[in-house]
Amino acid sequence: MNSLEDLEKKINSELTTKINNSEIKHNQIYLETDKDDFLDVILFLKTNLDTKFRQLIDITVVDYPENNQRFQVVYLFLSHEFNQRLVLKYSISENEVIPSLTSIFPAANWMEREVFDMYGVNFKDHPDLRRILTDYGFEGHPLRKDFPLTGHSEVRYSEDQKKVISEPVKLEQNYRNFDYESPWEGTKYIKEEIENNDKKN
Amino acid sequence: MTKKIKNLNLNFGPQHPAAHGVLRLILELDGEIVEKADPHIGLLHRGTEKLIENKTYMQAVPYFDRLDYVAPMNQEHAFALAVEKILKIDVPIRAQYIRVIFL
Repeated sequence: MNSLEDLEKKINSELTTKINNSEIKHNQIYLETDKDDFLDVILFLKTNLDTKFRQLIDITVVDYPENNQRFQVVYLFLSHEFNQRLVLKYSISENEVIPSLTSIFPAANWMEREVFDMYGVNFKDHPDLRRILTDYGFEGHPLRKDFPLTGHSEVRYSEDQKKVISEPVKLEQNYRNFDYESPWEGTKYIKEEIENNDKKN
Repeated sequence: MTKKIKNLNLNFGPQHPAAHGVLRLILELDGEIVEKADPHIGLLHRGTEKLIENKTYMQAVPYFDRLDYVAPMNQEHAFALAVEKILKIDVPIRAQYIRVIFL
């Protein structure tokens, strides 16, 4: 399949009800499916001779805390044969367990570990679901939107105990957001101060 | 006479002269043959994605220089391409050439 439109048609006609929505954006195909159907969809995309999405590029999650189904799981695939990329998405709620992709794509092993570590999404039948990137003894899932930027604990070397200890975060200075287009413009609180001074004079 | 042979568990890294990053491997050795390896790869994880959640696209650029000190421009280039794609920005061809020469 060379053109994206043909591919989209092909996928929709073969998988019909398993695809909830499909669109072509940024020169890629975006598919939306359900938690129960996604393994079938992926197996089709990998094995069908007209699609051949045989490489799994990444698995990730997007957190939408305001939604009923909080997490959107995203799979990225690449077809070397047709030089095409595909994005497959589906939504799950917070405590849902989803099937692991490791039986179809062994590369999914570490990617699912990362998703588990960063978002706390659990995978069924994963061979080795442990944390992968965070520190030993780390608690929480850092890429969830309700996880604070500063984290919950910080580590330091304790001279008394002669070892590295972990304690709650103490900030010496508040977080400052430098959101301005030009560095000469200055931060908001400085601008307000200048304006107030101008009014007084 | 029978000899009992047991596999040796070896902790390789995170500080090791032969590994110049921070990678820790828990190795199971049979003589000199590695039977099993458990890599601990998170020791240099700095939460770039989380930091960028709170920043503008322009402010995010320097984080990409620090992802890989051997090829900082490549990381920046990848980020620039991604942002241009989602914001539908057309970059002048001259600028594109210049930044490819940079790589």
